[in-house]
Amino acid sequence: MVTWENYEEYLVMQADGELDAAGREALESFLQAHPEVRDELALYETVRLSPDESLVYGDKRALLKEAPKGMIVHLGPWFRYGAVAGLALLVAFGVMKWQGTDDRTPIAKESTPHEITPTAKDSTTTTPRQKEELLVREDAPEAQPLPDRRLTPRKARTAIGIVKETRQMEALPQRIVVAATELNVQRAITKVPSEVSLPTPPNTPMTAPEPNREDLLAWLPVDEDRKQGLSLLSDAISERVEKVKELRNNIRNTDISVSLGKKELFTVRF
Amino acid sequence: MDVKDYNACVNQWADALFRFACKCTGHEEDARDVVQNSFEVLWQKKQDVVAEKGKAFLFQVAYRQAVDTYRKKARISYKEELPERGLYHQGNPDLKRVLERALAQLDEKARALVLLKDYEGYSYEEIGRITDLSDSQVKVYLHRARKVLKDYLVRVENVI
Repeated sequence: MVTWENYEEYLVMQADGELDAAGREALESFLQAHPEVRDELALYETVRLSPDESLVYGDKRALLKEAPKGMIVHLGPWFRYGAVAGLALLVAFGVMKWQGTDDRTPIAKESTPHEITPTAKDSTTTTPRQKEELLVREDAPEAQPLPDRRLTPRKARTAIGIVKETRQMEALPQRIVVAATELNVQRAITKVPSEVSLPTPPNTPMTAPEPNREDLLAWLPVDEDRKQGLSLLSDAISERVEKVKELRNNIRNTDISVSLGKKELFTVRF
Repeated sequence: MDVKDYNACVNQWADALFRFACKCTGHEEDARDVVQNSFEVLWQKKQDVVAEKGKAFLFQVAYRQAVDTYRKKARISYKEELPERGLYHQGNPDLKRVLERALAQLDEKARALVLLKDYEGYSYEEIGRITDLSDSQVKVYLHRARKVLKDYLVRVENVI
């Protein structure tokens, strides 16, 4: 309600255009009751300033900016910490993976001559397909179920390299296993499972012939170029395996600590 | 806000900001500094300011700088530069010029509020956001300022 105590406030708000509909109605009622106040309202509406348009800022060009030519990405400190932590995790993961694969590498390590030497009963009751699977299983890491398909050439090449690597190992009793595996893997490649034959049950301690890569390659039904390629591939894989083993030996019993400045973040112990 | 928005702000609001700063500080050179500083702050904060709020941000910075500048330099008001009597010798005093003189009677804060209201047409609420005052404070400051301007105008007319 507009009174003599607050009417000036209403007049100023009316002049400033800040009155709502109810306020305007209340003020109009007051003005009708007191018409002399209309002159005062006119004065308040007069004391409104208008900008001097002739007054302009002369040097706008100096304020303008050009778009940057290239894109600049600012990384805050937390991004840097995150990048360092991610890198460290990658390194740790890689090292752990090496260790994990190492446990699976030796094909015949966990096998014994007893395990791979079939008994007379086995040799008589197993079908050619079962024989092949039995032999290939010796080639597989750990005792995983063999997929129901033949070895692909790629797997066969890997097997050759691994066989060579295994041949260099010192565990002499395992050579027998390797020899048997080597021969039968190659037979699996030729896809003639019917011709696969298991070694005869030994009456005496098994004295398998020393595996010879040249014989093996000569036996393969591929041309000379491919044989040479297989030989080179085998050498390369064996070399890599040796390097990984050396690296593992070097890393073993070594702590790798990741620190940022003087602050040590974490330590990876092998 | 990107570079394009910033440059649009320069082209659109530099003059208005300069006029506002001129009336607040009472000095063109100071006003020019206020405008430059305001746009420099806007450029530095452009990532945090949306394009639609560019004008309000500029006037907020300019208001603070203009008030600070005025207080630091404690400039002499128009009242002393040109006595009131001088107006009446002109015979037909220009209302606009009289109001400009009347504006100089106000303190720096009330003057800035009147300019934001009359020059830029901001509402009480928007003025409150720019000057960090509450709505009721803006209302009180403007009420007092209008009364001073009206009384000044009445006195001049009475003399005439």
